[in-house]
Amino acid sequence: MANVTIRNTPLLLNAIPRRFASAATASQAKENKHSLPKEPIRVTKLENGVVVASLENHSPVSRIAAVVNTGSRDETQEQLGASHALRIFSNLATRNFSNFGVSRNLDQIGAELSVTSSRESTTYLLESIRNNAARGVDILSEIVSRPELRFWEIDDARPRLEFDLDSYDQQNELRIVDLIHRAAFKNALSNPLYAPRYNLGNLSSELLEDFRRTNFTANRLTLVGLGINHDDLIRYADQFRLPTGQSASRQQAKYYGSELRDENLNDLVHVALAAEGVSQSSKDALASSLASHAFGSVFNRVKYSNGATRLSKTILPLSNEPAAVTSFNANYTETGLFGFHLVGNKKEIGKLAQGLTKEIAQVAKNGFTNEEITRAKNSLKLSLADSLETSRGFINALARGPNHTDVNDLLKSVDAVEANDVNAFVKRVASSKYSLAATGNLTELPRLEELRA
Amino acid sequence: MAHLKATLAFGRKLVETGVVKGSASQGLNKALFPLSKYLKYGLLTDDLMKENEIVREALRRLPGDVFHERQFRLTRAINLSSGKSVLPESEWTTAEQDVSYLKPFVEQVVNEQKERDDWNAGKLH
Repeated sequence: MANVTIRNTPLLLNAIPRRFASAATASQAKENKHSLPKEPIRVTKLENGVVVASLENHSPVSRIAAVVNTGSRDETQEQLGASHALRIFSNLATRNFSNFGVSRNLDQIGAELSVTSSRESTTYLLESIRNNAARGVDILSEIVSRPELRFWEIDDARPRLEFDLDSYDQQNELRIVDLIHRAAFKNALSNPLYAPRYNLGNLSSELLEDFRRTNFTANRLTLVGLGINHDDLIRYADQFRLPTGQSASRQQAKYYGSELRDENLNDLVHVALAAEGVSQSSKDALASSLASHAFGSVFNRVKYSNGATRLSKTILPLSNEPAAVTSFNANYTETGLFGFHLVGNKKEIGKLAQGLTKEIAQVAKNGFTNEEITRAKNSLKLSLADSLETSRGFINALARGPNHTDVNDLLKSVDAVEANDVNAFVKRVASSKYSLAATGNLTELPRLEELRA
Repeated sequence: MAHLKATLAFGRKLVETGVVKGSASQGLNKALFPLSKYLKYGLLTDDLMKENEIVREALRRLPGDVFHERQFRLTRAINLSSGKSVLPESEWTTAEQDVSYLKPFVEQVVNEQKERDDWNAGKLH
């Protein structure tokens, strides 16, 4: 959103000559050198229910994320798309900053603000140089807790929402994820991440205000800081004034299992086939991730290779045209979704889909080999450790709880999962009710019942 | 009172939320108000603002029904004026009815423009 102006980066401009200078007087530098202490992760729960979690890593960059535990899952039927709209409208006027002021002030301090929303959480992430963090928080807190949502500004910004949808419409790999959730679940998790077009005119300032009032409450807010003093962050937390008290009871998602076919003339067909997975807190959560990695959750680890995953070895030869198949696993609060994403030519998609269901049955019957489980463990370990290396991944993990950030613990717990648990999970998946979502030219794609037969 | 109902409610809301202090006819205005002619046409002080870029933007920010009532009052006033008559005295605008429904938005637009100009002139950073 904002970029760094030269004028405001004395740090960068001064740092280079200073480094050469210090090299010249090496002995002097050695004396001044002191190592920064390694600080622990600190978590404080404030009286109003806000959780403040931070890690001081002495980085010159301060990252502060306001994670609100709400997303598209909390929308009612009338509110579908509210979380998408709030994501797009996040730079509009607040009580103390105008629409222009928000952007210009952030721009001036060279800060970057990004808003990400998932089905279950909305994250406002502010990244700035350490010295400017306080100024950045002034704006971040306004955006999170005091947006005015003026109707004329929303009218002006609505084309941006439409533009977002236009680009979404062209990305079938995104649409298929929403489609499979719609097919699989009843309530809550079935809500799409992107606003349905028919509801755009409905997303008025009152409706968004209403959505915020019920869902943006203090007890759902977690402030996560990386590269910031914990006591400072607690002080900043005062500025985030969200209504306290219990938020409305959540609608619970229920796995339902159905078929959703979005037919059009695309030759490239996207298919998602899924079954009920497990929740985040389930003891099988890691087993479900491992199963996904064993099937192949990443298409190819080695670039341009055809991939050595179980799926690419067994499914891809069925098609004469290029195709891709991966497995996905999502764990939510009360349930989860485990499935497969298949992309192929319209002529071949039937064969591929049938091959896929056969393959799942095959694995359920014989189980994964030890070698495959080891490969899956290595693959999962890499992606866990890798995600904690990035600041964004670390912040997401810290928002879920400090125990999600200890990489050694995570790797150990992956190692501790038994092959039997993974195989039992696949068996359960294979015997449960499937959901199917597909988009493209679906002439050759069998119906869900035919696939199970 | 289809010509005032929403406007009065809106004006009250603005006073309650602290956006506006009191009615438009305060101080000197209050003394001059009974002498003004426009109250006899059933107009409010804020109806008289000459339309320009800023006022047009402010009008856009009014709730629909408030805007439509303003249009009604203006049309009625033009109609009365062309007939060289005024409203019966019972329908004249009273000082209490003279709510400041548009001025805060004009000020808002002016402030936004000022903020923009100040930034571009390098006064804020």
